[in-house]
Amino acid sequence: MIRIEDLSYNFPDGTRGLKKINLGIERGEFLGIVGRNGSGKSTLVRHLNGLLKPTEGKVSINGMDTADPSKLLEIRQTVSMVFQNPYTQFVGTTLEEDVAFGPENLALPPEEIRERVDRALEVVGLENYRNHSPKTLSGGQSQCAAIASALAMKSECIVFDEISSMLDSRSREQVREILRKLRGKARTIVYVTHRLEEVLHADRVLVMDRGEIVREGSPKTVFKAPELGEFGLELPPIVELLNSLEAGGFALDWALLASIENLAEEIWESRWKI
Amino acid sequence: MPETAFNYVYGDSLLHRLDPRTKLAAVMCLSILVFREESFAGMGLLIAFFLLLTWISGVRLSFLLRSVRPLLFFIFFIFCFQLFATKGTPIIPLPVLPPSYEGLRLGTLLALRFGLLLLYAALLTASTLPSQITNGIERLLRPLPLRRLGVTSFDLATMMSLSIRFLPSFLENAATIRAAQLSRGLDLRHDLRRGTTAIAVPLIRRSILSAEEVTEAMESRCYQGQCRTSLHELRMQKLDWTALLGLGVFSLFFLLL
Amino acid sequence: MGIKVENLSYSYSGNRKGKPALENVSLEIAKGEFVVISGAAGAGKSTLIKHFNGILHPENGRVTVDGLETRTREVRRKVGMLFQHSQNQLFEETVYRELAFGPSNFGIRGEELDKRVHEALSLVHLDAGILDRSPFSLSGGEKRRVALAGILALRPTYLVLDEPTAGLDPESRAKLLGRLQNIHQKRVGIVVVSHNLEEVLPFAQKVISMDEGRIVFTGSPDEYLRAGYSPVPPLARLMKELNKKGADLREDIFTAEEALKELQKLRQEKPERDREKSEKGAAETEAQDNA
Repeated sequence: MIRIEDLSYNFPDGTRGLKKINLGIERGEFLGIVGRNGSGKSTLVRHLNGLLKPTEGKVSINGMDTADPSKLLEIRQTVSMVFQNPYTQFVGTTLEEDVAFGPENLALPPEEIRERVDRALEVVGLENYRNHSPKTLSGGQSQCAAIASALAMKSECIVFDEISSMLDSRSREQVREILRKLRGKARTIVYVTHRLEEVLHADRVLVMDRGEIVREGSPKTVFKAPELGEFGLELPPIVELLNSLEAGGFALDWALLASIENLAEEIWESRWKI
Repeated sequence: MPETAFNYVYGDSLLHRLDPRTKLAAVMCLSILVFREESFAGMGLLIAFFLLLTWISGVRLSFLLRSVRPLLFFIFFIFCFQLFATKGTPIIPLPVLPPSYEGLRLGTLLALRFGLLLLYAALLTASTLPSQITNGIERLLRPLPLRRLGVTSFDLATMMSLSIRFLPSFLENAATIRAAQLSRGLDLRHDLRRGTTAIAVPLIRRSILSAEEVTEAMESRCYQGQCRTSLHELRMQKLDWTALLGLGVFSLFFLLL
Repeated sequence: MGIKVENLSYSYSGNRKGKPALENVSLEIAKGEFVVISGAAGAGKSTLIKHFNGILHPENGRVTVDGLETRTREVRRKVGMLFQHSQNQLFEETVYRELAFGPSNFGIRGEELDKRVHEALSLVHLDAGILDRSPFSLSGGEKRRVALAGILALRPTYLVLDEPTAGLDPESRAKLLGRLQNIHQKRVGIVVVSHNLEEVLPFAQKVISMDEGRIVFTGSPDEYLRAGYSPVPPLARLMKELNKKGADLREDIFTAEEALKELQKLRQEKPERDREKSEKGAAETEAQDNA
């Protein structure tokens, strides 16, 4: 559904942001994009809904060129975005108003807005907070609200741009839980992060560095590459442990990482293999 | 989080249920009455009316009075100014600026006027969500030919609600930056000029950054300032027309008196 | 000596009837100690540390730093404080002036000032070439290092950092924590406020955990993990789960290497019987599948 051809981008001050990016994203795919701060991941995803326009090359969403201003509205209805800062993307004075903001911009009738707001809040489990103001919400709740606001747009694709990097571990878990729910409803997800553990179960992972895609593949193959450190990334210690166990002849299924209890059970039962 | 003045108070009173446009019109109308009033009797009546509305709204009077507190000094200053600067029969014969009976009268009247104005405004904000106020203003402005000036009533309304939304964050940022610079040994009493730059520069930069982030978030959600609808479409009810009629009768009666 | 907090209570003005931000908090941070203060957002961590250098003053109770009341100006120099989003506090025209700002506020001039600036710069591993540049032309990570250096130029006895790792990628985080460790070795007391405990726990000597304005735990990282306060990092949780099954492993494990070493202890436990059992187990599941 998304096609990027020879995309290069220079910042207004002339510095190189992206260099010759070629990428296709399929409908329903969960794509993880990882890389250190400043590697170009956020710059790349800002091209997906026309917030940035290519300096060279072309980005098309369902065949619509993001450089075409007349298509912009439709593109933004197709690809919505959740940003890093939980508070500055909160536009409304209450949660309900914030979620309604997008549908209001689409000039939908009030009944339809009401329905979308209620539905979206239900999905993220914040239906009891509808009249709360952003300052009474925790960072995690605020980020869930941002997800609800994206859901209310009913877009085909949601881009998550480092949504967990300012959250504490409990809030991260909360957000991850919702992501699990969102997956696999024919919805395309692009998930940007520098925490590799968050894209362990992605369909495909891209590693970016200095404005280029330097690695690409399934999480399992990408995360075995010994040079991840050079790209400023760090394997979660628990994945590293599984890798070392596998190197010693004890292969464990990554699906077990979803539950530490099951993983412990498996290791305990086959501990002779260690 | 410190409580600020002019906050909304949750409720389901008659006043809460009125259309924001009705309430805006009422506050405007009452403000004119307050400003025109020269007699204590009339002032008394307007105060009584305020108390009646407060009672209807179910908002605690002490809560509304708190909104006046930050401006108390200002009101007191006006009072004193009138008291001492108005020429007339002196209360105490002082050689310079003797307080006069006329000054006392004028000062009290002015202080009451400002106080009452603020209280009516506080009652409006206490019984109406900020978004509803902007929504009401937007609807009132919509017939104006603003488009020729390059803005729409939607733009104005969004700007207003964003200002309301981001004022607390702005104050919070200011406090954090101040604390950070104090931690670096900044002594505001000794070097006010440097202190001002040390706080203002980061604060402005931070605010611009937040503004950029908000813009991105708004654009991503298809904001274009043209035609919008609202989750809470405003509809004038029978209640609103009754209230406006009542207010009209009250004002007429008041002016004729 | 050290930072001493006795029965500290504090509530933000205007909120007197509401819950206080801090309630009867007492703690001690010794000279040269590395302390982590943890707790969810709104637990009172930030309010607490603002008392360490007199940004806030106690409503009730007492706070002293090396015996000095926090109203003393000297306390601001002794306790270096770096707030969250520290990149936002820069304002001078050059990095040099940015670093000189702190010490010059305490009357340090001339050669001594110059010495301090260079010393601070090297502590955060930045090049002297950066000194003439505008701080606003730097990358986000560099800005944060300059902000840290600006505090280090005060030569604080205690360095207090509020969420220093927030938003950093793994590489920058590891480097920052390495730098903090170096600074700690120079006998500077370090207090890190963090809600990402698993990142800073390996460096801590003491953990203080807060909830709703009170201290709910004080102890070593190992005790903290054993006490079962969530969230526990995955490796430590794995060890805990294995211990439940009868293993006897350390739980304060943070790296894969350590974990592997611990797991290897399991291997030595009668592999024969396990093999039988697991084969039996496999046969059973196969039988079930067939059925």
